[in-house]
Parts: sequence; C-alpha cells; structure tokens
Amino acid sequence: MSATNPARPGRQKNRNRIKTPASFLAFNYLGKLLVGLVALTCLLPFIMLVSASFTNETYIATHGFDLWPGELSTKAYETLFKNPSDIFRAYGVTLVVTGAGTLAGLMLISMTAYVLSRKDLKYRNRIAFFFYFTTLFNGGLISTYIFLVRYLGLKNNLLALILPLLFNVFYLLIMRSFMASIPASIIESAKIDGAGEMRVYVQLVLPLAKPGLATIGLFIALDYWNDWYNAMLYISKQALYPLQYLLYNMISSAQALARIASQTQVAVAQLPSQSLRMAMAVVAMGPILLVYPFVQKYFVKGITIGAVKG
Amino acid sequence: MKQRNGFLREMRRNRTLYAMLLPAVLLAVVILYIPMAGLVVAFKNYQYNLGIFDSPWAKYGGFDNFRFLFISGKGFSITLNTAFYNLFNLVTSQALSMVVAIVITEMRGRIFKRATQSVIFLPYFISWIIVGSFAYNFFNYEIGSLNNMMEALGGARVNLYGIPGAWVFIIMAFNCWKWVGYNSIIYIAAITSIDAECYEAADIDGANIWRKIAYITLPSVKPTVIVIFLLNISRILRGDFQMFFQLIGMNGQLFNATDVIDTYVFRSLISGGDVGMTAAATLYQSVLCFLIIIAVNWLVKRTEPDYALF
Amino acid sequence: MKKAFRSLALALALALLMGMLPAAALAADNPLDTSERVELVMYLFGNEPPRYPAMLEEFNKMALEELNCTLSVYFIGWGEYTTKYPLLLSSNEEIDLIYAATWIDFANLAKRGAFLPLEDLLPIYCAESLKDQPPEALVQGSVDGHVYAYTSNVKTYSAYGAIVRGDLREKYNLPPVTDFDSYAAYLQAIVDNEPSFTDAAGGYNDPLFEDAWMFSKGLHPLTGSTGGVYYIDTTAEKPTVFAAHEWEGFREMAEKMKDWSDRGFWPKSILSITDDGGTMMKQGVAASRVHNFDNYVSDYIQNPNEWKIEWTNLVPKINHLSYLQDTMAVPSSSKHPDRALMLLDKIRTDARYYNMLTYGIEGVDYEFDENGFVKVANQDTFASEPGTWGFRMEKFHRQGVGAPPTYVEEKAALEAAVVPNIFRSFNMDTAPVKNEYAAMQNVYAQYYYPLSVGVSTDLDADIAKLAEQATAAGNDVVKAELQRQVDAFYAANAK
Repeated sequence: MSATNPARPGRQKNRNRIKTPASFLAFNYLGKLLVGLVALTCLLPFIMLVSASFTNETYIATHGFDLWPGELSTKAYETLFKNPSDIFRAYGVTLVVTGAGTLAGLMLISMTAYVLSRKDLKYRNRIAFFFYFTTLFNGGLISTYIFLVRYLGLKNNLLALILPLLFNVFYLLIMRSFMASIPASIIESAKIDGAGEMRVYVQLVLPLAKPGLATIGLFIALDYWNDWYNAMLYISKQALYPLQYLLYNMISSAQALARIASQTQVAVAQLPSQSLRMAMAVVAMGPILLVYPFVQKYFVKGITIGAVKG
Repeated sequence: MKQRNGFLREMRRNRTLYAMLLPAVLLAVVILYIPMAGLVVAFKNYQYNLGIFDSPWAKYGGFDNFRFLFISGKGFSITLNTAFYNLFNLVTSQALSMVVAIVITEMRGRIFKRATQSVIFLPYFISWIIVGSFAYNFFNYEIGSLNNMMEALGGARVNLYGIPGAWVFIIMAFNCWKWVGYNSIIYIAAITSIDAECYEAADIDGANIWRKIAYITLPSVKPTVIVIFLLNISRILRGDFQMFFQLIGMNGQLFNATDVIDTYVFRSLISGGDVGMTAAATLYQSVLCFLIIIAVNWLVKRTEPDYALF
Repeated sequence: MKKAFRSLALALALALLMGMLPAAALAADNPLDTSERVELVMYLFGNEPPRYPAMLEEFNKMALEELNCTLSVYFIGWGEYTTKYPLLLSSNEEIDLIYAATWIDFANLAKRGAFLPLEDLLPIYCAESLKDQPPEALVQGSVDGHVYAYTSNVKTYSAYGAIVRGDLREKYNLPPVTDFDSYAAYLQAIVDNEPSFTDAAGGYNDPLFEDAWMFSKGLHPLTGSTGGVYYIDTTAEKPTVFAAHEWEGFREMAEKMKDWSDRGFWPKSILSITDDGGTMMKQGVAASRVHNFDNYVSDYIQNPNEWKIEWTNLVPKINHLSYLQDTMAVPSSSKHPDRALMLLDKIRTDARYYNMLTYGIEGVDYEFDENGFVKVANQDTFASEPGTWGFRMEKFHRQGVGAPPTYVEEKAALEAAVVPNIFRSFNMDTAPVKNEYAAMQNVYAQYYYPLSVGVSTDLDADIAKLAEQATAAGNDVVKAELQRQVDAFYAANAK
C-alpha cells in the first residue's frame, strides 16, 4: 500500500542536490553532535561491560573496568556454560513466554486501545478509568499470589509468567493516543462503504497503527524478556526457569549474600565474580538486541495516511 | 429511567465495539480487581495461619501498620523527595528523549541514524545491579576512574560519596542515560505517524527546519507528551527502587538527599517487619497518587478536554 | 509472674518430653504408620547444585522403600528470600519442612502462627534424634511456651576475630594479632607498604569492627547476632537494655573508628562497597577482615596456603550462640507433619540420608579421606551443604579437605573459652513496638552505621544528630518494651 509512496530518504536525496539551506545544515550538525555524544555515553559502558566479561577477575578488582580486557580470560563464559543445558532450556522458556505473551498482549491492547480511542463511544472515559484504576491500586503481593496460586492453580505454570504482564494499562493509554491521531473521517467513510467494526479495525486501523504496534509490541516483548520477578514468585521448578530469572538468581544471590554475610553463621561457597555478572548480562541481552533492527524499520518516517486510503 | 434507556441504546448501537472490549475487561476483573480485596491486609495484624481475612484488625482502628512511616517525622520528607525525584527525572529524561527523537528522525545519514538509534537503546538492557557496580568503580575516591581522570588533568580527588547533593544530579544523569533509547522510541513512533503531506506542504512553502519542528512536529507529538506525563504523574510517589538501591545502597551519608519512600520502607522492614506494614506503605502511595491524578486529570479536562486520561 | 509460670511450665513439659521417650516409642496403636504414601515438600535456602536432582532421585528410592515417602526440595535464593520466604509461609501452600533462623525473624514468624508447635510431635516422630538434641536447644526453639524449631545441634560461637594474612604479617616483622591494637599495627603496615591493597580491612559488608569491639567489652546484642541495635551488659547485676549509641563506651569507639578510617584502613567510600570481605581478600583487594571461626576456616580453604591465613579471637568471653541460628520448622500449612518429622528424624540419625543431602552421592560427588575430611569432587556440580544447615548434626558434621591443620586445637580452645549466658536463649519480640523498631532500624542505617566505620567530619554533631533522631523514632518506647521482656526473662531464668 505504501509502495506507491516515495520513501522519504529518497526525497531528501533529491532535494540535497538542489540546495541545502544553512538552517538545515546547522540543525544537522548540531543534532549529530548531540546524538553522537549521547550515543557515545551509551556505547562506552556497554563496551566496558563486554570487555569486563572477558577480563580476569583479579584484574577487575584491582584496576576497575576498561575498554579493552586488561588480562584476557574466558573463565566467566566457561563457568556460565558449564551446564549449557540449563541455559538453553531457560532460553527456550523465555522464547515461548515472550512469543506467546507479546502476540496475545499486542492483540488485546491494540483492540482495546482502538475502541477506547473512538470518540463516538459514550462510556469510553469511564472504561478507561476502570482500567486506569488498576495502576493505582492493586491487591498487593500476598493477595495476588494467593489468588493466582490457590484459586487459579498457576504455581509452576508458564501462564503465571504470561498473565500478569499481558495487559499493561500504560501501553494501552499510549496506544490509544497513537490511535487517536487516525482521522475519524477515514473510519467514517469506511463504515459508509459498508465495512463492519471488526473489519475497519483489522483492515484499516491496524495497518495505519504500524509504528505504534511496533513500539508497543517491542515494549511488551522486552517486559517478557526481562521479567524475573514473576518467575521468582510462581516458579520453583528449575526446569521452568526463564533465562533472566536463572541469571538474576545468580547475580542477586551474590549481592545479597555479601550483605548478610555478617549475620549468618555459615560460611558460604564462592560467589560469582564481577566478570561472571557481566558475562551473564551479555548472554541475557544478546538475542533481544538482534531483534531490534527488525523492529526499527517500522520507525522510518513517511508512511502516509493518504497512501493507505488510495 | 431515561438514563437506563440511554445506556441500553448505547450498548445496542456500539455492540461490536463493546464486545471488543470484553476480553480486556474480563482479564482486568479476574487478575486485577478480584485480588484487590487483599488491600485490607494493610489494616490487619497479620497472622500466617489465619490468612488475610481472618486475621484480627490492627491497633488504632486498623491504622497501626502506617505509623512507622510517620513516627520519626521522616514520612513527609521522603514523600517530598520521591515526588521531587520523579518530577525532576521525568522532565529531564523526557526532554532529552524528545530532542534525540526529533534529531534522529530529521537528520541526514541513514546509517548514522540507525546506528545511533540502536546504540542509545543499549543502557536499557544493563540492569541496575550492574549499573551499581559501574557507578562504584567510576566514582569511588581511591581507584575510581573519574578521580583518576581528575588527577591526571591536574585536579584534586573528590569523595562524591560524601557529598549528598551531587547525587541528585548523578541519579538524574543515570536515569536519563538508562531511558533515553526506550523513551525516544515512543516519540519516534509518534513523529513517524505524522502525515508526510504536512512536511511536503511545508517544504513547498519554504519553511526551514526549525519552523517545521516548531509548527508540525511539536504539535503532533503533544498528545503523546501529555499522555506520558499524565501516566507518570500517576506513579509520582513510587520510587524506582532498584535504581536508588543499586546506586545508593546502604550508604547512610547520602540518605538525606536520596531517600525515597520505597528505600525507606525496605530498610525499615529488613527485620521485624510484616506483611501488613508493607501493604500499608503501598496503600499510602496509592491513595496519594490517586488524589493527585484525580486533581491533575480534572485540570486537564477543564483546559484541554481531548487530552484527559479518563 | 505469668511469664515465670510459663517458663516453669515449659521446663516441666520439656522434662516430661524427655522422660516419655521410651513410652512414646512403645505406644500401642503404632503412631508411626507409614502405610500411606506421601509426597513431602521441603524449602531450603541457597542455590540448587546442578547434580541435586540426580542425588534426590537416589534419595527418594531410599525414602520410598523405608519410609514410603518422597521428597521434593525447592531452593529460596539469597537474593529473593526477603520477598519469597514470608510469601511461602503466608500463602498456605503445602510445605512440610522449611529452613528457619533467628536472622530471618524466626520468633516473629512463630508468634504469628507461621509454624506448627512441635512439643507433642517430636517425642513420637523424632524419638531417635531427640536423644542427640541438647535440652537448651529445645528451649531456644520455643516461643510463648511452644517448641516451634527443631534446631541443628552443631555448636557455634560468638567469637569474632581478625582474619589476617600470616605471610604479610611476617614480612613486616609484626607479632601475631592478639587484640585490637596489634590488629591496627597490622593494618598500618599494609597501608604503609602494600598500596595494591585498596582496602586493608575488608569492606563494609562485614561491618564487624564495632560488633567485635562491643562484644569484647562484654555487651550482649538482644538479637543474638551482629548488626543489632539493642544491647545489655550481661556482667551487670540486673541487665539494663540500651541502644548501641547510648553505651558509655560509644564515643570512645566512634573516635577509634574515625582514627582508623582517617589512617586509611578502609576506603572513604566504604559505605557503598557491595562486595563481601571474603571475596575481597581472595581478589587481593583486602588484606584482612573481621569475622567468625567458620569464615576463617573457609577463607583458609579457599586461599593459597602460602598466604598463611590466621585468625585470632578478639572477644575474650564467648558463648555458644543460640541453636536457633539454624533450624528446621514445620509450616502450619503442612498436611503431613508426622511424616515430615519421621523423615527429618531419619536424616538426623542415618548417615546415608544425611550424607546424601549434604554431600551428594558418594564416589561421584564426594569422598571421605583418611582423616574423615570431605573431598568434594566438583564444587560446581555439587558443593557441600546445599542449604542443609537447619539439620546439621554434630556427629555427622565434617570439615572439608584443606582446613587449617590446627583446626581441632583451635576449636577446642574456643570451646574452653565459653562462658554461660542465659540470654542466648532469649528471643526478642519486637511485634508490640514494630513501628518504633522499624523507625529505629532506619535511624541506625542512616546515622549509626556511618559512625561505626568512622565516616564523619564532625563527630560531636553527628553523635548528637543520631541521639536526636533515635529519640524521635521512639527509642524509649522500644527500650521500655524490651526491658520488660528482659526483666521477665531474667526473673524466670536467673539462678
């Protein structure tokens, strides 16, 4: 549908050849400088993190972090992958939960957001409030836990990882604000042409909302990908641990142990080192980073509403 | 009677739309509203063998569990601190994210665009635990990289861990850094949704880049900005526990400037605390947030009715 | 009076309980009925070793045949226990055995109905292992006259000392560390000569300088552990409860710690260090730390022998710590407390069961060497004692290979230094003043901890601020309540 529409970068190139106003040049270079600096502060710690994961433990302790491993060592990764089956199984769990959760959540949120964005719906504000209220008040840990475990029987069940994150009201309202920018006239004309509400939503609204869907979809996926908290609550079988929980368990145990080391009488076995923590972080973020460039293509400016109509 | 008819007519008229809301409503009722009954535990003297509903009421008409928040006169200052940090961090990080988003969408250079957009997203994946160890390695007096650099440049070493005021800005900077990629995606998506025809028309009129940003881009992202601000106002009294805890930890020297409700509660209940007191603290945050958001939403509704949350 | 009566009743009950052992074992309608096959659930602290499931499979074959039950074991990680532990106990999930301890609020939880009272069950279902249980262990595991804890019977000590590197001490011709002054001399030598150690004294997470200092002056923490707020002087005629900052020696201690801090014994940013002293020593960042005997042994094992790790107790009069430091309890949600206790009895009396849970499968995960030390095959697949401290037994407990050659003598020396202290059996109850106690904990984190490691630019002002904040937080209310409890306990137990 947007094939007929020339992509914006192309247009820019054409324009370049004609003339580039000084004001744009100023903007372009100032902007690049700023974004470049921001990017650099984001990139350097990441490089240090990767470097630290390949650095000898004692070296980190005495020299701190570096951009390049001071004393190369792959011990952290060897330790981490000593039981590779655990890690791969955890990857599997995370993939299933992230995949299923993102798909279901995106469908649920986009549909609800669309309906709530329809200004001709009389009770839309009241219903929005009904959802919004749950972000202010919730039953609290114990009550939710008892309800999910005892009444829904979700202990050691992957649904317990999916359900709590399925419906994020913040995303719902952000999505609604994206949907609200779709002109009501388009929807009206489609309805006059005889399309039912469901068809309007699926065939007209969803394609128009692509950047929003990509954004919210990415956010939901990240939430599932990064979630360890629900696993901590609801999963006690190690075979069902998602990746982040497996790693969180190791990292936080070390940290908490250090904190309570003075109170317990027991001398506890070795704690994972700095480099191991960093290696875990690398392992955990790797795959989702690979997904990001694919999502990015939906953020290219120039999808026009007019083009869809035609 | 008349209203009831109105209700039925509305239901009949938009029955498909309301049916589309049904899955979300059911889900919210089941996993969010039903457990809400557990809020009552904040007013109970919780007994493990009796459970939430059968436990006896707490002293002082049920309000005993709230007393630890106010007893030492800290309640007020940590509440203010929390609100201050959230507002300050919200404004700084959203402003930066928006500027970055605008620059990224408008500037030239496809590869630079894509690369920076990906890179600024990296910090989101670095968990606060790891950020915490970075911060210590960077800021500490004896071997911290910052002090090493200062010294190399001829300056004196500074013990930042003894200067509480500095941490207001350090926390702000870390917060901006961590969320710039994530937040800018929302703005990029919003800008992407702007009808390209608007820009073309502006180009034809000979508008320069600054005018285009001021008259097209900014007004178009306004709804998104307002939604994000409103959503964040509704959690203005909930501190980002992990961020504060991992950056500040148990360093009492810095608490005056950096304590938020969540860290205060955590420290106070490390031992001897109970389920009821945790619930009481959460309820206190919820009620205040509720009152604030109702007030703010009312104001928005009076001035810009289209942007109200509910 | 009422309290005294209750204590008396408890003593009587316990005497009875010990006396009726044979009677219970001979009970006519055999209560030890194992005809129903049950699945028991146990929660322990720590991380599950990779080979744990394989071990448990073997374990369950044995348990099924001999006790007609199987056991599932779940682990509560160190990073999640603050959330998960109370949650498990409050959700009424069926759990049959769970680890408990003073430092995870045992008394508080027991008082609030989290555990089943065991005084009627132990004589019947744990008859065999009860013979090995010291009577005071049962008293210490009691709250309000009910026994809620079946504790480990391994003795631990309130001794804290300096763990230092003997090689460095010898290098600078220093005498052995025997007290705080000789320890300071060691630290000074490190600071002056060994710049590679950025933290001579080993971090903040063993904030034990001030604990060791106070213990060495004969003060007893009412928590029974380190890091407490309230103390009594057990040498006094009638113990008076006071907060640490109200102690007459507090100012002297704060000055000393400030002096040590100014001399660079630890970093200026000590309060933000998140590593523990043991790790820092191993990495060569720290040259010493203050901790207990067990940690010294583990440091000795984990570090190179040429470091000649040494430890000297800095607390002259030591006690046995309360057995409640490590225990197992039966949550009130258990449907099969009888069968759980029968299994626990077996674990505590049968080396096959005990060793399997503690060390893994013999020949695969561990071996005993000729001295009876444990030789672990692979620390990464099955490190010894995965969360088993709650049922550690003196008679089965073994040291790992590589323990200090003087281990036995050193332990005997500790045992010889032990003096009795009835307050080791005192279980503080903060529930009546939970709000004030919470506020006090917070005041201490903010104002006391910095002083305890000498982080202060104006000692007078900071001490005054601490006192003022403590008063505002309700220090007097907490003290009055604890004094009442201490008095009642003293009246009931002092001879």
